[in-house]
Amino acid sequence: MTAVELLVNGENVRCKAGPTTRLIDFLRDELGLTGTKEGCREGECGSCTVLLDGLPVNACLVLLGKCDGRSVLTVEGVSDGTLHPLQEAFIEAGAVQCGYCTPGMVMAALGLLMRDPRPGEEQIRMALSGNFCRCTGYESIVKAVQLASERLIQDGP
Amino acid sequence: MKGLSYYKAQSVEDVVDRLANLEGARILAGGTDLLLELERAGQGANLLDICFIDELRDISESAHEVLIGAACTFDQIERSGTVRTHARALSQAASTVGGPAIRNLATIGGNVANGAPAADSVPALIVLEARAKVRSAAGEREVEVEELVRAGRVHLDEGEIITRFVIPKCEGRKSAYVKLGLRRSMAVSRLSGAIGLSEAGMRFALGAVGPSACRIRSVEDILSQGVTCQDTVRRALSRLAGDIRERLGERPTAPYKQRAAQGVLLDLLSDVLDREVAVL
Amino acid sequence: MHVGVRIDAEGKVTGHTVFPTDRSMPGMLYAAIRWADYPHARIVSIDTTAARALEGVEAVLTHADVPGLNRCGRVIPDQPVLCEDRVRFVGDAVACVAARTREIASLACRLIRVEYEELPVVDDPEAAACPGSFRVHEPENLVVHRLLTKGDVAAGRRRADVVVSGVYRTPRQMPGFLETEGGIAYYDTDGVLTVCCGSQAGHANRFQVARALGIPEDRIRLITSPLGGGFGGKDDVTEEIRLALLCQATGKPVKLVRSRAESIRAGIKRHPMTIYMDTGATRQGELVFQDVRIVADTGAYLSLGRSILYLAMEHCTGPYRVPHLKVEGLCVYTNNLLSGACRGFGVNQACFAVESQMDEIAERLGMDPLELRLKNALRPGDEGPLGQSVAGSVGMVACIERLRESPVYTKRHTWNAASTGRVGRGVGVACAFKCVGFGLGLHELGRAIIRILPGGRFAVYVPYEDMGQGSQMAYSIMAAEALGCAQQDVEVTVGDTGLCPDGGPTSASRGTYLGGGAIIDAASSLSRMLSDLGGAGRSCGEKARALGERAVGLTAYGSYSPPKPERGFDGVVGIPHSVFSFMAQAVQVEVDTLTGAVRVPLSHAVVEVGRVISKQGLVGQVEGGTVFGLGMALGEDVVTDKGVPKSYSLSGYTVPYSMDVPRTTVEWIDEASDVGPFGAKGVGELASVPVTAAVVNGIADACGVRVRTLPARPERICKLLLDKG
Repeated sequence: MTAVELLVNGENVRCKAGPTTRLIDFLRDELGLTGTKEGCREGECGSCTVLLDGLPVNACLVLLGKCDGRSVLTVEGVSDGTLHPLQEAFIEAGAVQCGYCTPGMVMAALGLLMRDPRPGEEQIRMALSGNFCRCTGYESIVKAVQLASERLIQDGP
Repeated sequence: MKGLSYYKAQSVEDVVDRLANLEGARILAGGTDLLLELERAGQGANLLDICFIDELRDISESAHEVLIGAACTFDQIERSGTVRTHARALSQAASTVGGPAIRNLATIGGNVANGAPAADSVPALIVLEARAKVRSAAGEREVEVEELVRAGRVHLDEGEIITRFVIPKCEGRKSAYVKLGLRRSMAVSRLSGAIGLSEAGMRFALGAVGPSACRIRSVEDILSQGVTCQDTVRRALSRLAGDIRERLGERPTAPYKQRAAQGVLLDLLSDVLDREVAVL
Repeated sequence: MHVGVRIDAEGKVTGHTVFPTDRSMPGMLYAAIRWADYPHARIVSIDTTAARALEGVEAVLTHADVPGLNRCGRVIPDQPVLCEDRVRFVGDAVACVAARTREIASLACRLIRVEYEELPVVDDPEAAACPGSFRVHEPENLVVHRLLTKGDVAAGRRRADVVVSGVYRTPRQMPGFLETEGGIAYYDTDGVLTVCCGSQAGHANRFQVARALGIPEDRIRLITSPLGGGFGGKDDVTEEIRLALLCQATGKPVKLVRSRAESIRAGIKRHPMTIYMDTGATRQGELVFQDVRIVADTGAYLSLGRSILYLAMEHCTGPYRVPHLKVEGLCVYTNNLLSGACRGFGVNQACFAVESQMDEIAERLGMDPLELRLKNALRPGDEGPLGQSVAGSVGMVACIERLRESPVYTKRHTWNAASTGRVGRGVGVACAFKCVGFGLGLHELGRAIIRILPGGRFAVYVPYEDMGQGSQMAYSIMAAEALGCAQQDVEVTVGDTGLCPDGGPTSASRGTYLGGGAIIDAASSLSRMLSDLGGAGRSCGEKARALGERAVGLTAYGSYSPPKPERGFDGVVGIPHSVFSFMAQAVQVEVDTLTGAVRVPLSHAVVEVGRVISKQGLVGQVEGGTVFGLGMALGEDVVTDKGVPKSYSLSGYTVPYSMDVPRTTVEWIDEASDVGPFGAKGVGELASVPVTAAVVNGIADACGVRVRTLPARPERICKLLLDKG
């Protein structure tokens, strides 16, 4: 197979790593995008959540070959210099403690808001339900997503 | 992962051809189970990724059937209006698989073909009378899902691939699925159940009691006499406990599962009858 | 105070914060560990020939390659860094490898041939404590055995109208930090061996590295922060020593990160305890005695097991006046997984037992459970559980009174009445206290350094790592107040032995308290120094601005020595304590009596932790702590069979996710304590303590069965319901 090509945070990348490399290793080792965290390498903790064609997936369970011709968004691609309203909301709502689950949480929440800009609390909890956080007890994270949703609707077109 | 190769399959023909001719070929769908299995076993494989084949990724319906491609993800299934309308139990089952990110990867074909006793989709497929279309270089066959997973192994021959699930539409059928896990997401099913209720009859299946999900016919027989009758329900619950006792024997989980299965059945009946069914 | 900016948050939401396990360097080697193949075996031989011959392998180390003391362990160095002649649990390391790739390193590990002779697996701590047991260590498995008494329990028994007895068993909970143990080691340009590895105890673990490598501590630097969670599990040494050994052996940067499976195998767990408890009360509900025996399974090595047992013993009265106490504590070696510090440090286990007993007494006496607690609650001026003097605020009564007004509690009867034949609904309450800081006899000195930077800014160096609890935020808030400047003008550095003074580990809920105390001391020194230079103004900020360039570089050291009780017990180090934080909590519980499923929709917590430095930080600790304790109550347990975990995966470990947790309301009694910086105490551990018992009490209220063995999984609840008939 020829080299895998994909978009990472909007930029076209031709991968040195082969198609059986896991996406998480490619992002962290080849691209140095260590915002995508590894907590279990078995799809249990959600720390490595990235968006693949807009949908949240566990980067530890995706082979690079599967990403060929597709678009990957990592936490590093969420803000373009200024913080995304979702990231601001995480800070304001106290949704960040140790911060290790945070990138995965941000990506899971972003995936939700892209699909459903006005989620109810249950939808938010559901959307985050594959992401393990040991610090916060989830309450502040749910509130952050609510806050971001309100602001995005206000500021939206 | 040593000795692993990856190939993006172009068509079903391409897959069956390679399955027949390529040593160590394994079908890669969502990969959520397979990658972990290969890593734990330290095994190599020639992976054939079927997720780029459009016909395997499609949910469609004809006048009498709902067709679900084997590489459809649980997220797709959960969100499909067609599935919700004609196969509600499957829609519910899909929503209980792992977490959202897993559901964006894991496929229904992989879930069935992996053959786990606790596979979330299987009890739902069974009560919906689903059949699997299976292809190989030799041709195509159809098999009932319950038969496909009978007795704790997946009855697929070498070189075969599940391409679609066919769910017959059934006017007025109500179906439901319930899963007991140790938490409300990211849970392996401790016990799951599904029910399908129509004029043509009723089906009731359990997962995670014994080697594979299966119908509990003794309970179906009793419930067929009328699910609205308190006494019938009471007898069904008692029969259910007895049936599980027989299936699980002296296993330490047996007393719990006997009791919990009664809760599952009551939840299912409450769901399809749209009222609280309680017999205590 | 109260409104502070979480200065570490921006880097974390953008993914730019670099954690130790994120780091890599050019030419870096990857390490892997060959773990014990059995939970208990004699090592007959180790053959590394094939591993060494493998292309790409740069070092294969065994015990013979450890230049210094081949032991680790904070209190007693009883654990081999690399095993010599025996493995005592599955997380023992036999060899470690550094190679050019991860794959080569792990292949090399598999190529190491280790010949074993299996030994009997000692997995029952109570049997292990008996003299005839096979010994995990010489001279006996019973590594700590203490009896503490206060008053006269026999007299207490005579006074008691009701005596409640129970046997309580607690699970092997894991700290469950998301970032597993590990990091990178390298030589910096000055030849200092630098180990960047998430840890709660940079200086203490630097000592352990130096001891094993046989080099002076000042040739080693530990960068330990930020870390993706600690919860006690990164207090004692994790992979620092093996990282340093491999770096020393190869001269190259080495990366070593435990997989989740390795973390489950080798990482610290909460001590499973069996607690036998007799509690006596008068007819009026006055507690008269507590007679307790605690058996703690410390696993193959002690780590911090001694202190953890002592804390369980000290807190086994609950936050109550108990005139007569007898508590016997046993800490036992087994071949089970390694136990050590885990958020709450033994107090969670004791609280679960006491608070279960309190509910039973209330039931026997026909009293309201909260009234019983109120009647016995510690009050200001009371002696502590071991007869010691208590310093600072004692807010237990205020917490209970506030909880009594909470909706969860006032509406408990409505919630009860909403039960159906199948679903039981109940409300459970529990109180807790938790010591702050180290106990009597342990060296404890908080330290901080403040340096004046150009532009009216201040650099503050505090040892206590930020593992998510927000120590950097708390320090910046306190430093700004002490210096009289804006929070943004303070740059806080924590967790780096190269820059920060040695103030002991980040543990015992003492980070805010010790670090804050030392910052205030340093600020007042700095203030004097600035005045001496002729700086005019009311605060350091003003004086520094007045002096301008002349003040830049001025550096002040501060320290803080917290109060200790005046007397303790002969030969017992680490208890009693002088300062405690307090908490009361109520939860709504719902039990499906057929499936055994438990849901906890609501929780209300009231804490008294002295003056609140950051509201958001406090609420975050209490919400997170609640879920931590909920996990212990309902699902978390690393189940082992003859010392071997049944699952090496997170999927086999039921930690709560976002849909499993209650909505928690947090209140606090904001009264300044007369000790501690600005009157602040600590909250980190306490927050995890009461909820476990509250949930179990709620289950009893909901369906009439009392769970004494945790976790209260559906099967266990169904069994109890079946037994009840």
